[in-house]
Amino acid sequence: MPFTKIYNLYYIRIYQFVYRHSFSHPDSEDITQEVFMNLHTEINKKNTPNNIKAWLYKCALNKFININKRKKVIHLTDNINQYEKALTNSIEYEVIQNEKKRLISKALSMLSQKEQILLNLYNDDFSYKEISKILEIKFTSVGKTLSRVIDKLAIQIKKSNHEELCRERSII
Amino acid sequence: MKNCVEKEVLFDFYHHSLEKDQMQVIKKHIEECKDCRNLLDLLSKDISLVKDSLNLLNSEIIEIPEFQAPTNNIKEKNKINYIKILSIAASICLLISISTLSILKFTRNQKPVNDYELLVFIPDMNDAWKAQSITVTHYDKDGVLVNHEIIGN
Ligand SMILES: [Zn+2]
Repeated sequence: MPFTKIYNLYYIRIYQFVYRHSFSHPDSEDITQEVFMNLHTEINKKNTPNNIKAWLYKCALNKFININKRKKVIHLTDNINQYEKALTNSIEYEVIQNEKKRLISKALSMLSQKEQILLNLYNDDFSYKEISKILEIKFTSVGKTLSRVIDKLAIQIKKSNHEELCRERSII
Repeated sequence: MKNCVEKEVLFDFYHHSLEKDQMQVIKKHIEECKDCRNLLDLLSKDISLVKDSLNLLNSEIIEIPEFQAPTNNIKEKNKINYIKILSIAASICLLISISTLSILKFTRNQKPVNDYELLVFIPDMNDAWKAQSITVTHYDKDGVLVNHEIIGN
Protein backbone atom coordinates (compact mmCIF):
# COMPACT_ATOMS: atom_id res chain seq x y z
CA MET A 1 0.00 0.00 0.00
CA PRO A 2 1.46 3.41 -0.89
CA PHE A 3 2.28 5.70 2.00
CA THR A 4 -0.29 8.41 1.20
CA LYS A 5 -3.06 5.80 1.20
CA ILE A 6 -2.01 4.54 4.64
CA TYR A 7 -1.77 8.14 5.84
CA ASN A 8 -5.27 9.04 4.70
CA LEU A 9 -6.74 5.79 5.98
CA TYR A 10 -5.28 5.87 9.49
CA TYR A 11 -4.60 9.52 10.29
CA ILE A 12 -7.95 10.19 11.95
CA ARG A 13 -8.03 6.83 13.73
CA ILE A 14 -4.62 7.34 15.28
CA TYR A 15 -5.50 10.93 16.14
CA GLN A 16 -8.71 9.85 17.89
CA PHE A 17 -6.92 7.03 19.70
CA VAL A 18 -4.40 9.47 21.13
CA TYR A 19 -7.07 12.08 21.77
CA ARG A 20 -9.17 9.64 23.79
CA HIS A 21 -6.19 9.22 26.10
CA SER A 22 -4.77 12.72 26.20
CA PHE A 23 -7.75 15.02 25.48
CA SER A 24 -5.16 17.39 24.11
CA HIS A 25 -5.28 18.54 20.50
CA PRO A 26 -1.63 19.69 20.38
CA ASP A 27 -0.45 16.35 21.82
CA SER A 28 -2.68 14.32 19.49
CA GLU A 29 -1.49 16.31 16.49
CA ASP A 30 2.19 16.05 17.39
CA ILE A 31 2.06 12.36 18.20
CA THR A 32 0.09 11.48 15.06
CA GLN A 33 2.50 13.46 12.87
CA GLU A 34 5.50 11.81 14.52
CA VAL A 35 4.00 8.35 14.13
CA PHE A 36 3.56 8.81 10.38
CA MET A 37 7.02 10.36 10.05
CA ASN A 38 8.43 7.24 11.68
CA LEU A 39 6.44 5.03 9.33
CA HIS A 40 7.69 7.07 6.37
CA THR A 41 11.27 6.49 7.51
CA GLU A 42 10.65 2.76 8.01
CA ILE A 43 9.18 2.43 4.52
CA ASN A 44 12.11 4.36 3.05
CA LYS A 45 14.48 1.95 4.77
CA LYS A 46 12.48 -0.90 3.19
CA ASN A 47 11.40 -1.95 6.69
CA THR A 48 7.64 -1.78 6.04
CA PRO A 49 5.93 -3.44 9.05
CA ASN A 50 3.81 -6.53 8.42
CA ASN A 51 0.81 -5.32 10.36
CA ILE A 52 0.77 -1.61 9.62
CA LYS A 53 -2.31 -0.86 11.71
CA ALA A 54 -0.87 -2.54 14.83
CA TRP A 55 2.50 -0.90 14.21
CA LEU A 56 0.93 2.57 14.02
CA TYR A 57 -1.03 2.09 17.25
CA LYS A 58 1.93 0.69 19.11
CA CYS A 59 4.10 3.58 17.94
CA ALA A 60 1.42 6.10 19.00
CA LEU A 61 1.07 4.37 22.35
CA ASN A 62 4.80 4.49 23.07
CA LYS A 63 4.94 8.16 22.21
CA PHE A 64 1.90 8.93 24.33
CA ILE A 65 3.35 7.07 27.33
CA ASN A 66 6.66 8.89 26.89
CA ILE A 67 4.98 12.30 26.78
CA ASN A 68 3.01 11.43 29.88
CA LYS A 69 6.15 10.32 31.66
CA ARG A 70 7.74 13.65 30.81
CA LYS A 71 4.69 15.49 32.08
CA LYS A 72 4.67 13.20 35.13
CA VAL A 73 0.98 12.53 34.56
CA ILE A 74 0.45 8.85 35.22
CA HIS A 75 -3.26 8.81 35.67
CA LEU A 76 -5.72 10.46 33.40
CA THR A 77 -7.70 12.24 36.12
CA ASP A 78 -6.28 15.52 34.85
CA ASN A 79 -8.46 15.13 31.80
CA ILE A 80 -11.54 15.58 33.91
CA ASN A 81 -10.26 19.03 34.80
CA GLN A 82 -9.84 19.72 31.10
CA TYR A 83 -13.51 18.98 30.61
CA GLU A 84 -14.48 21.16 33.51
CA LYS A 85 -12.48 23.95 31.93
CA ALA A 86 -14.16 23.38 28.58
CA LEU A 87 -17.50 23.27 30.32
CA THR A 88 -17.20 26.85 31.50
CA ASN A 89 -16.71 28.33 28.05
CA SER A 90 -19.02 26.35 25.83
CA ILE A 91 -22.53 26.90 24.53
CA GLU A 92 -25.58 25.12 25.88
CA TYR A 93 -25.58 22.12 23.53
CA GLU A 94 -21.94 21.55 24.16
CA VAL A 95 -22.51 21.77 27.87
CA ILE A 96 -24.68 18.66 27.74
CA GLN A 97 -22.19 16.87 25.50
CA ASN A 98 -19.33 17.88 27.73
CA GLU A 99 -21.22 16.75 30.80
CA LYS A 100 -21.62 13.32 29.22
CA LYS A 101 -17.96 13.28 28.29
CA ARG A 102 -17.00 14.33 31.77
CA LEU A 103 -18.94 11.48 33.30
CA ILE A 104 -17.41 8.95 30.92
CA SER A 105 -13.89 10.18 31.46
CA LYS A 106 -14.57 10.12 35.20
CA ALA A 107 -15.67 6.49 34.90
CA LEU A 108 -12.59 5.75 32.77
CA SER A 109 -10.29 7.35 35.31
CA MET A 110 -11.23 4.58 37.72
CA LEU A 111 -9.44 2.13 35.44
CA SER A 112 -5.68 1.76 35.29
CA GLN A 113 -3.90 3.26 32.32
CA LYS A 114 -3.22 -0.17 30.89
CA GLU A 115 -6.90 -1.07 31.17
CA GLN A 116 -7.86 2.15 29.41
CA ILE A 117 -5.45 1.45 26.59
CA LEU A 118 -6.69 -2.12 26.30
CA LEU A 119 -10.25 -0.85 26.05
CA ASN A 120 -9.37 1.74 23.43
CA LEU A 121 -7.56 -0.82 21.31
CA TYR A 122 -10.58 -3.10 21.59
CA ASN A 123 -12.78 -0.21 20.57
CA ASP A 124 -10.66 0.23 17.45
CA ASP A 125 -11.44 -3.35 16.38
CA PHE A 126 -8.19 -5.04 17.21
CA SER A 127 -8.29 -8.79 17.69
CA TYR A 128 -7.25 -10.43 20.97
CA LYS A 129 -4.08 -11.57 19.26
CA GLU A 130 -3.17 -8.08 18.09
CA ILE A 131 -3.95 -6.53 21.48
CA SER A 132 -1.79 -9.10 23.25
CA LYS A 133 1.06 -8.27 20.87
CA ILE A 134 0.75 -4.50 21.17
CA LEU A 135 0.46 -4.49 24.96
CA GLU A 136 2.84 -7.42 25.39
CA ILE A 137 0.40 -9.33 27.58
CA LYS A 138 -0.81 -12.95 27.49
CA PHE A 139 -3.45 -13.82 24.91
CA THR A 140 -5.64 -15.40 27.58
CA SER A 141 -5.60 -12.33 29.81
CA VAL A 142 -6.96 -10.07 27.05
CA GLY A 143 -10.48 -11.49 27.19
CA LYS A 144 -10.48 -11.80 30.96
CA THR A 145 -9.38 -8.20 31.50
CA LEU A 146 -11.71 -6.85 28.81
CA SER A 147 -14.70 -8.68 30.18
CA ARG A 148 -14.03 -7.32 33.66
CA VAL A 149 -13.30 -3.76 32.47
CA ILE A 150 -16.38 -3.54 30.26
CA ASP A 151 -18.53 -4.87 33.09
CA LYS A 152 -17.16 -2.28 35.49
CA LEU A 153 -17.49 0.57 33.02
CA ALA A 154 -21.01 -0.36 31.93
CA ILE A 155 -22.15 -0.29 35.56
CA GLN A 156 -20.58 3.14 36.06
CA ILE A 157 -22.09 4.56 32.87
CA LYS A 158 -25.54 3.21 33.67
CA LYS A 159 -25.26 4.63 37.16
CA SER A 160 -24.33 8.11 35.95
CA ASN A 161 -27.00 7.97 33.24
CA HIS A 162 -29.52 7.07 35.91
CA GLU A 163 -28.37 9.91 38.16
CA GLU A 164 -28.63 12.32 35.26
CA LEU A 165 -32.15 11.13 34.52
CA CYS A 166 -33.15 11.62 38.16
CA ARG A 167 -31.68 15.11 38.16
CA GLU A 168 -33.60 16.00 35.00
CA ARG A 169 -36.84 14.74 36.54
CA SER A 170 -36.26 16.69 39.72
CA ILE A 171 -35.67 19.85 37.67
CA ILE A 172 -38.97 19.34 35.82
CA MET B 1 -29.51 -25.09 34.61
CA LYS B 2 -26.27 -26.95 35.09
CA ASN B 3 -23.07 -26.35 33.06
CA CYS B 4 -23.96 -22.71 32.55
CA VAL B 5 -21.31 -20.58 30.84
CA GLU B 6 -19.22 -18.18 32.88
CA LYS B 7 -19.44 -14.51 31.90
CA GLU B 8 -15.76 -14.34 30.92
CA VAL B 9 -16.08 -17.35 28.67
CA LEU B 10 -19.26 -15.97 27.19
CA PHE B 11 -17.36 -12.79 26.42
CA ASP B 12 -14.74 -14.76 24.52
CA PHE B 13 -17.49 -16.72 22.78
CA TYR B 14 -19.05 -13.44 21.67
CA HIS B 15 -15.72 -12.49 20.09
CA HIS B 16 -15.19 -15.91 18.48
CA SER B 17 -11.97 -16.20 20.46
CA LEU B 18 -12.36 -19.78 21.72
CA GLU B 19 -11.13 -23.06 20.34
CA LYS B 20 -13.39 -24.55 17.68
CA ASP B 21 -14.73 -27.45 19.75
CA GLN B 22 -15.34 -25.18 22.76
CA MET B 23 -17.26 -22.77 20.53
CA GLN B 24 -19.46 -25.67 19.41
CA VAL B 25 -20.17 -26.81 22.97
CA ILE B 26 -21.18 -23.32 24.15
CA LYS B 27 -23.23 -22.66 21.05
CA LYS B 28 -25.20 -25.80 21.72
CA HIS B 29 -25.68 -24.88 25.37
CA ILE B 30 -26.90 -21.36 24.59
CA GLU B 31 -29.45 -22.69 22.16
CA GLU B 32 -30.93 -24.72 25.00
CA CYS B 33 -30.46 -22.32 27.94
CA LYS B 34 -32.52 -19.15 28.28
CA ASP B 35 -30.40 -17.75 31.14
CA CYS B 36 -27.24 -17.87 29.05
CA ARG B 37 -29.05 -16.36 26.08
CA ASN B 38 -30.17 -13.47 28.29
CA LEU B 39 -26.66 -13.06 29.66
CA LEU B 40 -25.23 -12.96 26.15
CA ASP B 41 -27.82 -10.36 25.16
CA LEU B 42 -26.94 -8.24 28.20
CA LEU B 43 -23.26 -8.59 27.39
CA SER B 44 -23.65 -7.36 23.84
CA LYS B 45 -25.69 -4.39 25.09
CA ASP B 46 -23.00 -3.51 27.62
CA ILE B 47 -20.36 -3.73 24.93
CA SER B 48 -22.22 -1.33 22.64
CA LEU B 49 -22.90 1.03 25.55
CA VAL B 50 -19.22 1.16 26.42
CA LYS B 51 -18.17 1.51 22.77
CA ASP B 52 -20.65 4.32 22.14
CA SER B 53 -19.50 6.08 25.30
CA LEU B 54 -15.86 5.78 24.33
CA ASN B 55 -16.59 7.17 20.89
CA LEU B 56 -18.24 10.18 22.51
CA LEU B 57 -14.77 11.08 23.70
CA ASN B 58 -13.53 11.38 20.14
CA SER B 59 -12.71 14.83 18.93
CA GLU B 60 -15.46 16.17 16.70
CA ILE B 61 -13.60 17.84 13.88
CA ILE B 62 -10.29 16.61 12.58
CA GLU B 63 -8.74 17.65 9.32
CA ILE B 64 -6.02 15.56 7.81
CA PRO B 65 -3.09 17.89 7.31
CA GLU B 66 -0.81 17.50 4.33
CA PHE B 67 2.02 15.14 5.16
CA GLN B 68 5.41 16.79 5.49
CA ALA B 69 8.09 14.32 4.55
CA PRO B 70 10.65 14.04 7.35
CA THR B 71 14.05 15.64 6.85
CA ASN B 72 15.59 14.02 9.91
CA ASN B 73 16.67 11.07 7.83
CA ILE B 74 20.39 10.63 8.59
CA LYS B 75 21.39 10.20 4.96
CA GLU B 76 19.43 13.25 3.91
CA LYS B 77 20.80 15.19 6.84
CA ASN B 78 24.33 14.34 5.78
CA LYS B 79 23.48 15.31 2.23
CA ILE B 80 22.15 18.65 3.42
CA ASN B 81 25.29 19.23 5.52
CA TYR B 82 27.43 18.36 2.52
CA ILE B 83 25.52 20.83 0.37
CA LYS B 84 25.83 23.48 3.08
CA ILE B 85 29.61 23.04 3.35
CA LEU B 86 29.97 23.08 -0.43
CA SER B 87 27.98 26.25 -0.81
CA ILE B 88 29.92 27.99 1.95
CA ALA B 89 33.21 26.96 0.30
CA ALA B 90 31.96 28.15 -3.07
CA SER B 91 30.94 31.52 -1.70
CA ILE B 92 34.31 31.95 0.00
CA CYS B 93 36.05 31.15 -3.31
CA LEU B 94 33.84 33.64 -5.10
CA LEU B 95 34.56 36.30 -2.51
CA ILE B 96 38.33 35.75 -2.79
CA SER B 97 38.31 35.81 -6.58
CA ILE B 98 36.18 38.96 -6.73
CA SER B 99 38.40 40.78 -4.24
CA THR B 100 41.59 39.66 -6.05
CA LEU B 101 40.19 40.80 -9.37
CA SER B 102 39.19 44.19 -8.03
CA ILE B 103 42.59 44.66 -6.41
CA LEU B 104 44.24 43.77 -9.73
CA LYS B 105 41.95 46.15 -11.58
CA PHE B 106 42.72 48.86 -9.08
CA THR B 107 46.46 48.42 -9.48
CA ARG B 108 46.10 48.43 -13.27
CA ASN B 109 44.17 51.69 -13.09
CA GLN B 110 46.91 53.13 -10.95
CA LYS B 111 49.21 54.34 -13.77
CA PRO B 112 49.77 57.82 -12.48
CA VAL B 113 53.30 58.01 -13.94
CA ASN B 114 52.02 58.68 -17.49
CA ASP B 115 49.45 61.16 -16.29
CA TYR B 116 52.08 62.81 -14.22
CA GLU B 117 54.33 63.15 -17.25
CA LEU B 118 51.44 64.69 -19.11
CA LEU B 119 50.88 67.09 -16.26
CA VAL B 120 54.51 68.14 -16.53
CA PHE B 121 53.92 69.29 -20.08
CA ILE B 122 50.89 71.28 -19.26
CA PRO B 123 52.72 74.43 -18.06
CA ASP B 124 54.36 74.72 -21.48
CA MET B 125 50.96 74.31 -23.14
CA ASN B 126 49.66 77.03 -20.88
CA ASP B 127 52.56 79.22 -21.76
CA ALA B 128 51.76 78.68 -25.41
CA TRP B 129 48.13 79.48 -24.69
CA LYS B 130 49.08 82.58 -22.74
CA ALA B 131 51.25 83.62 -25.63
CA GLN B 132 48.23 83.00 -27.82
CA SER B 133 50.33 81.26 -30.37
CA ILE B 134 49.83 77.85 -31.96
CA THR B 135 52.50 76.07 -33.90
CA VAL B 136 51.26 74.00 -36.85
CA THR B 137 53.64 71.49 -38.33
CA HIS B 138 52.84 69.24 -41.34
CA TYR B 139 54.88 66.32 -42.54
CA ASP B 140 54.15 64.16 -45.64
CA LYS B 141 54.22 60.35 -45.81
CA ASP B 142 57.99 60.20 -46.14
CA GLY B 143 58.56 62.48 -43.21
CA VAL B 144 59.54 65.51 -45.25
CA LEU B 145 58.53 68.80 -43.68
CA VAL B 146 55.71 70.37 -45.70
CA ASN B 147 54.51 73.26 -43.60
CA HIS B 148 55.61 74.89 -40.38
CA GLU B 149 53.92 78.05 -39.18
CA ILE B 150 53.16 79.83 -35.95
CA ILE B 151 49.66 81.25 -35.78
CA GLY B 152 48.98 84.24 -33.60
CA ASN B 153 51.30 86.64 -31.81
ZN1 LIG C 1 -26.77 -21.66 30.74
